[in-house]
Amino acid sequence: MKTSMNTTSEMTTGNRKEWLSFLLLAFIVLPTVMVGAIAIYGFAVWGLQILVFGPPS
Amino acid sequence: MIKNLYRTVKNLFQRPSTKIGLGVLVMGGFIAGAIAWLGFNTALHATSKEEFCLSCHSMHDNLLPELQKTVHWSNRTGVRTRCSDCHVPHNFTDKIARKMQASREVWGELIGTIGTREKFQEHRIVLARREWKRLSANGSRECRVCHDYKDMDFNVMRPASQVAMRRAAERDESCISCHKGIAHQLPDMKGAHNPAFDTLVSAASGQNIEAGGEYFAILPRDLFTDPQMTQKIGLLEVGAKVKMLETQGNMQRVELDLWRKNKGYGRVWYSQFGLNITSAILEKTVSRDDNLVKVLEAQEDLLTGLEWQRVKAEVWMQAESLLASPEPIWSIARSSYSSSCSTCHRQPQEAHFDANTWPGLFGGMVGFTSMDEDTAKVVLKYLQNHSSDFSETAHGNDATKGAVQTARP
Repeated sequence: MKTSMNTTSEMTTGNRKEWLSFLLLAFIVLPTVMVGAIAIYGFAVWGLQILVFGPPS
Repeated sequence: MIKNLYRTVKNLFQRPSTKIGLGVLVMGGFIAGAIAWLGFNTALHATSKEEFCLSCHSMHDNLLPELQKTVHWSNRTGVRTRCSDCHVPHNFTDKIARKMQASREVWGELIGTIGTREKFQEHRIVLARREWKRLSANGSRECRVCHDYKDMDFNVMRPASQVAMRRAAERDESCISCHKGIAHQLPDMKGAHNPAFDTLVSAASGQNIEAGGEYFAILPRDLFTDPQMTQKIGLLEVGAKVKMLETQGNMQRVELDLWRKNKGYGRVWYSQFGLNITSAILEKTVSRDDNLVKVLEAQEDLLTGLEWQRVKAEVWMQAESLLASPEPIWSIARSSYSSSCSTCHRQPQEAHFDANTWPGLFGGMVGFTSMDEDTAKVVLKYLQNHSSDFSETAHGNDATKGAVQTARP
């Protein structure tokens, strides 16, 4: 992003871009990452149960 | 591409936002986080609901009607279980792992592994074993959310239940050890297969067979009049003793030297005089056929007044189903006997009863175990062949140890 903010058009594009990435991150990307991480955790535990620990006690 | 992604992420974290205020960012992030967590929990909860489980055909058509017939569905107290109460672990880690395991079930539903009632019945033993294993490992934790030993008043139980339950509580026994099939039908054990028999089969295929030798059947085998297997004339039971005559390719001619009661068709042949240890069962059409069956001698059983005949027959059977010693067969039976029977009570010593008492006793109890048909047969044969009729010290070494039920309420 450029530091010069002379024209209004540049201001609005920068503004919109920032808002877009903020909303995208907060409401879509990070929740997806959270669900994905929990799923991976679940699969890892399951895999370990099959290979090492056996069913949970 | 990866470098680009790395740079984007790095910029995201290092470059301060120029247009949006810090408060807005923090608040937005906070709200988004709260919504995400709420959504996640709602989804977790929704996938544990009965409606969700029953949305699959295999659940709705098979397991629901079965559950509806049990006390866990409808009872006088109006407390009822839902799928997840028993089948979904209650703590976070195990619950998440179980949810991921369900991906396998979703896949099964999609490709129709248990798409029909028949397929389900066939596959049920696999599913049941998986769940039994899980509940054994965690000591039936899910059952004990509602039914825990420490909260039970043994005094209001029926006397017979008291005995069993007090002993179980003493050992902290897992509920599933005795209460299999409490919420769904038990699997059909006939189709089940005890993996221990595989070792017997491989031992039998390596067994050196000599004509004139005596061998023992490792599994029930069909008997034929000829090596082409044109006429089936009966069934040789597991553990039965035969004398080898000759081998022709995949078939063997053996001699049966057994006893039968001279009554009716005389179809059932026993290994000893006067003892109901079944060794072979012949078809009605041939059991009185003098060409096949030679009667060697007759003797009266004074206890019953029945005449017993020592009979001989030469029959054909499939090769690779015999062992020179019955011990490997008995050792499978012994381990099955001690593990299956001791879950609910101390198992009696083999020699505590005689060979003619065991079948009735065993027949009454085997329904409580998860033995498949072949295993049940071999265990009964084992018990009969190690009963007091064959033991040097009558009633075993220590008569007090053999009592079926020693505890009193």
